[in-house]
Amino acid sequence: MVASSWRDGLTRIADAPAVLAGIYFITLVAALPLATAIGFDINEHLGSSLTANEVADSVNYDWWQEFASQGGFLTLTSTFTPSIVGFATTLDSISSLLDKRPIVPAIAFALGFYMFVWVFLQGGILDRYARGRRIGAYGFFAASGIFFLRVPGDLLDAGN
Amino acid sequence: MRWTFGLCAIAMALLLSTTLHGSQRFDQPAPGARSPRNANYEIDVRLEPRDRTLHGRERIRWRNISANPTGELQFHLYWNAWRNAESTWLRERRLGGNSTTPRPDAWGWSDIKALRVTQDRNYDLGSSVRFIAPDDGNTADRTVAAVSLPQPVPPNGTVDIDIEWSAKIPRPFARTGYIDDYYFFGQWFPKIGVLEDDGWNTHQFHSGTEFYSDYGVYDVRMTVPRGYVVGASGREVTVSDSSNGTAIHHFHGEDIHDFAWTTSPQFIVLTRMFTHPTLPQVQMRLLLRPEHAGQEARHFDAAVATLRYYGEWFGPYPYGNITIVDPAFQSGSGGMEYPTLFTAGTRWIAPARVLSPESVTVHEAGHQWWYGLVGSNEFEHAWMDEGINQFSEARVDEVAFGTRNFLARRYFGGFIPWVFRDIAVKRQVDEGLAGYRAQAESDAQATPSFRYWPSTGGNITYFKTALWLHTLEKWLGWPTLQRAMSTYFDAWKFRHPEPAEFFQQLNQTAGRDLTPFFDEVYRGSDTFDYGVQTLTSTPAGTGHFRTTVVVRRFGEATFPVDVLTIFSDGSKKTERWDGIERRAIYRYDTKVRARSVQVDPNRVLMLDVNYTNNSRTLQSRASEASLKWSLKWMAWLQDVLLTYAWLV
Repeated sequence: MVASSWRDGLTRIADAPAVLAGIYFITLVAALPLATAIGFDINEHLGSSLTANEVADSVNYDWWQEFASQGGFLTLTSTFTPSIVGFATTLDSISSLLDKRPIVPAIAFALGFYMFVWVFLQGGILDRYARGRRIGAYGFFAASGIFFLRVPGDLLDAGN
Repeated sequence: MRWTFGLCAIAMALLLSTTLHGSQRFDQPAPGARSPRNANYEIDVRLEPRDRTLHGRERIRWRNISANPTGELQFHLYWNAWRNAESTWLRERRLGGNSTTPRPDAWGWSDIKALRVTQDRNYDLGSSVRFIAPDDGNTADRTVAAVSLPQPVPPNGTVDIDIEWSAKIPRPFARTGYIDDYYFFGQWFPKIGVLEDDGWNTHQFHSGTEFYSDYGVYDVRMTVPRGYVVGASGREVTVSDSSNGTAIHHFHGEDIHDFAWTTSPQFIVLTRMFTHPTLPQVQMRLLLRPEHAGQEARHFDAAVATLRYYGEWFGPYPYGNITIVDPAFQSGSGGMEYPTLFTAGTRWIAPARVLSPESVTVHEAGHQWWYGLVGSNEFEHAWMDEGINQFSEARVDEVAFGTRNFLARRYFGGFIPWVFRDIAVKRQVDEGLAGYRAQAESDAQATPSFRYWPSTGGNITYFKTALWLHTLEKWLGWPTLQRAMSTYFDAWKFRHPEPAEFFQQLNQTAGRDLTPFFDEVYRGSDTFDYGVQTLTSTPAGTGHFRTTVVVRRFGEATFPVDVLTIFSDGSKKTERWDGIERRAIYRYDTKVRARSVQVDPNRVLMLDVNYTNNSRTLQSRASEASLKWSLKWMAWLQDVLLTYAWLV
């Protein structure tokens, strides 16, 4: 039962690659400005050093710690930890949420933006997956709008 | 030149011998003993698990080994640090950023019920005990008690002090207390202060510092519920059952300056013998928590590495036994040293490629040398044990376990580790370069440790010392530094050295005056930061290139460094820069273009807070590197966004 539901869900997702691409695009829009900022910070910190050559090829934890201590744009560099590498990324993201770790303000801003867009779009996404067929941009955003307006009321009801 | 330095050193030594704060005129070993044995304790103590209390009686036989008579005795009552919220310990903890209010059952205290002194006759002085606060005048602090004597105790005179006391065991503070049926007792008995030639050195209990006491013989009987395992300083002599369901564990330790113990019915007791061709045998006793069964080899191997390398480098461990305590989860008692006993600390999941529990075991076992045997004043010069030991531990970590020391991060409340197999931990990471960098200017090391800013002292005490000793190792060479440290160890074991003695030994063994270096790292709080300001290499006539190198001192502290320029044909030019001026300029006319320049290419100066700016190349790949890592970071951020959106 669970497995078949799981398979059905995956099939519906696979049938709608545009939704996945859209979600990825939105995360990109939210993350790219900050990634660009941290990229500038990295570039500036490395300068013309020999360390830059090492860092281009491998992990240099010494440099990593030095860079993370710099502050940089909106203290983003403090998030530049080994947790950005490989599966640690996933562990870190979930653990950060469950352990209620504080979030750097710039990340919180990006998160707020993304969450707003996500809450708006989730009605359209669910509608698209539920129908299992193309619903077009108009249908998608109409469903998004309807559900988006319902969400605050539903949340209030849940709270009561 | 050499004889001039020798004369200066002798003059300085003579000067120091007359002006040193902290010396004790009669600190020679007692006949047939290793130490002066001037603070000897016979203690009977009973644990009452039902109301979490201790009830004890002790006799202190104390000898005045200072140059002057004293008409007063001073005692530490450390557990009173948790008697009220206005104790100096709790005030400082709040200053350090921890404003958690202790839960109602967490408080602890220590009450003297009776105090008698035997001089020409027996005097009851219980009613004249008063509390003093020599460090900050805090009248709410009751961690130091004083009592005036009917007659002064002359130099080398002895007095017997009988004390009865009761204590409420705290939930864990400062690594002491209880959690469920696990108890750890550190600084648990009324303990006499240290009388130096210039008076009592009895500091209040501070949140950021540790302890200081004289050597002696401890003969201690601990009554605990039958079936409880006991681990303690010294060696177990007997265990005898009492009629009321309790057992008395008798331990005896000689030439030690403190006594700690632990008890729990859950410990698994394991033993192993340390043997070595030239060092004395040591029986290792491990009290392991059941949930960590299977990790015994890792604890023992780390203890063996410590006994071996510290023994070979500094001097032999003389006691013949050592107890390793694996503390209970959330007991807060892990990672602490006491004479012949220490607490380690591990996790349920402990990956083999990560040095936990090894590094904490090496560190705390290492304190048997730097704290236990060389008894520096931790209140005032915490770096002399924590810092020297951090350096020594990092060295053992590298030599004994370097091939399997990888970085790990812990997630989900610390339960789930993730090992980064492409990030091998270098020694400077173990030596805390990142921590030092963050707070390099917070305090000068010469500031008495108990006056450090509470939350920053650790980085200056542990890491700055480890880094400047590592710098000395690279500068003078390990054989020289090792010889200096072993000579210092041998001269000051079972005594209380001051910083000047350590510096003097380093100067003497190195055969040079290192005072300017000590001025920077010990007396000052300036940072070291050397770097390259400019590298140009341009054509200058037929077939020649003019290379100009400008190196710069960005920090205020100074140190001599090499400047290495490498040319495109692989040839090298090395300059020795004294590092005093703000800049130095080097010009080369060569047939080939320069490729790169490095200040301090061998990284001798481990305290340089920004090593990235130490080099410059004409073929930089910074853009490539920044693109690579900013993309990885972006993927991480996208993951964060998706996770929060999915779970919220």
